[in-house]
Amino acid sequence: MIRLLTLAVCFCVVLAAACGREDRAANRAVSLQVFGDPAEIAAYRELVAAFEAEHPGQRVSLIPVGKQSDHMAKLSAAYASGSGPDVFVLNFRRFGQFAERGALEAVGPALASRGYAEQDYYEPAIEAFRMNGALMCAPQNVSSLVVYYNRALFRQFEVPYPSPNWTFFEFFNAARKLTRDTDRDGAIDLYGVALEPLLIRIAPFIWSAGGDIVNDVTRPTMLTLDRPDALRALGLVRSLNSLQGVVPPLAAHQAEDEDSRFARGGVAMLFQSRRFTTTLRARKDLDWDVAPFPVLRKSESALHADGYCLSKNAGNREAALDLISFAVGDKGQSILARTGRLVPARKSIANSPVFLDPTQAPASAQVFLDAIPHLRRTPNIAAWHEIETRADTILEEWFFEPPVGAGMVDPDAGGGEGLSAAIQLRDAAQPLLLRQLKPDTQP
Amino acid sequence: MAAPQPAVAGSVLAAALFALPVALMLVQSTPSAYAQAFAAVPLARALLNSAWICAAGVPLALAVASTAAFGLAQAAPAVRGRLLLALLLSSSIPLTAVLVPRFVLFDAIGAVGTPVPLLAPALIGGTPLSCLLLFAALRRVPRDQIDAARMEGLGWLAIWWHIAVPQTRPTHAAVLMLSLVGFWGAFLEPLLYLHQEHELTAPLMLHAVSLLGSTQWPLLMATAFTITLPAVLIVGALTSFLHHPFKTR
Repeated sequence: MIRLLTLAVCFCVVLAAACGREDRAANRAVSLQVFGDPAEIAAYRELVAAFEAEHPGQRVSLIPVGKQSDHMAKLSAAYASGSGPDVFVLNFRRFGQFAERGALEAVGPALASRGYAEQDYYEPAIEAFRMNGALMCAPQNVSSLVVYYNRALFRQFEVPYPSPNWTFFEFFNAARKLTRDTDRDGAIDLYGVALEPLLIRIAPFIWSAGGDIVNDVTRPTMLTLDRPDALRALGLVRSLNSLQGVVPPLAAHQAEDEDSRFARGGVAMLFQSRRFTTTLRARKDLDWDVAPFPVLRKSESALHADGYCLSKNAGNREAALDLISFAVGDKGQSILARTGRLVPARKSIANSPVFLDPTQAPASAQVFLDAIPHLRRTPNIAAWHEIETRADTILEEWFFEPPVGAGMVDPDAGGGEGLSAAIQLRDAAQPLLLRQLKPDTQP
Repeated sequence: MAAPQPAVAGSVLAAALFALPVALMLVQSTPSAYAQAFAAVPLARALLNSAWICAAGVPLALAVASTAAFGLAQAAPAVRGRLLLALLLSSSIPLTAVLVPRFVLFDAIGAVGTPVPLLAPALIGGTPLSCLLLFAALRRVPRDQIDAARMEGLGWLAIWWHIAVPQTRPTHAAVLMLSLVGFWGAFLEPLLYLHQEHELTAPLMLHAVSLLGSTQWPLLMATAFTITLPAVLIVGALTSFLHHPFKTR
């Protein structure tokens, strides 16, 4: 028995040591950590293969992670120990926490020497990854919040398709007409619209109403959701649930995610970014398209952008920069754009058939490009992700809680409930924003 | 002796709660979805990776937990009390509290990116709970038998293997099952410590398939069933060891 145990331990140690040697050998390659579903990971694999073919002698070690939250957990643990991948993909709303700790090297100057020209990329994506004037990460995509709609349901209930400049009130009327009790059992089984009550989803309503979510997007010191225009937008958003009942109520929202509900035809419109396109392409029986974000006072939408970031401790810095340069070049952008999941940040690819493929849904893919000049972004400071996390909890409770005196509140007045939520949000964010300003927390 | 009625009802309910999801996986998946699952992600490789981690980790964890528990059971009362307190305290530390320190430690010894951090818990018996369960069983082995064996000249390891383990086989089987389920279903450790796609384990593949979207239920259920089946079969095969504590070769 003792011999058996000793053998088992030796087996484990030898095996682990062998694997360790293999990994140390792999460390000489550039490590690229990405997140995404299997189709996206397959595209990254293709990207790596194309890079290695074009750069003989250079090797890339791909580290695929599924969800963005898991990707962040893995990155955070790696950086806590002072290690981490050479190159990784980050959303602009999350890159601040790495940039401000000095974990990133600005890629702008090094990429410029490799022929990278910022004017070849859409400005909102470039600007989102800029910190203190330096381009910290190279933008990969430039998506926005749009309205996915079920064309078959619009036709069935004789609701006109959204026009390119449709207003919030046209959207509102469409949602009302499409909210139905189709089997006449007294319960709504088709909802007009689904909206996740998250800050990133509600922000475009506020911007479109002429309001803002922070006082200064580059150096925010307070949330400004308690200002009149923002309150008006909040009141209108909440009225979708409290007054009109055109969105799934809390029980339905928790029973089924909104993407699934839209895919099975249980909701006629859905606010989502480009990422949802590939899921819907797999549904051959669904007739769908996209429409721009409805206008309240001016045309606005929310930026969704990821970029390739370079670790300050990158072991093979030059090869890592070559990889980033390749990934955001024509070939790299084409490979990823073919997945259908992203709007390429590079203008030449975004305006090419690779993205605007007329044989592929959505028919109105141009909507994503038309939205780009009107994109607004949330702050990219280190504390922003935590602020959003706190805000989302408050907003979900506020959005779904039953109204006081249902049917008696004027949505245009904003409503006292919107004010109380705005104050709660402001108070929740204030300590984090103030901490951001303290000199001892600066890099 | 027949089991009391509430206990039987509880067991039936528990069995139903665990069996229902498996049945749902079977109903929701289609035959073609199984082929798709293996095509969409490197599932076969991931199953192999999980299998070898279980093969190395589970026996080691059980052996360490059992010997530690046996030592605890034979220790002097004062020492035993302190050790039990330490075990209870260590079992109450949340995993998230030690996640980063553990990562830093494994990174410092160059073990990140290797299976070592996944197998390391086996060297401390898996979880403190395993030690506690086995201690509760092993302390009931009659002291006279152990003293007699000592007088016959048997060493502690031989006493543990030939006298203590055969009498506590059901508890060992239960701890083996718990360890197996723990190693097979581990998600956080493989996520943090493994990098290369060919090293990833089965739960990570299930997670990847779940990201394919809300229209891929058959694929998700087929993957879930494929990943659950080996663990269910092994645990099922081990259930016979939960009875007949004194059955020997």
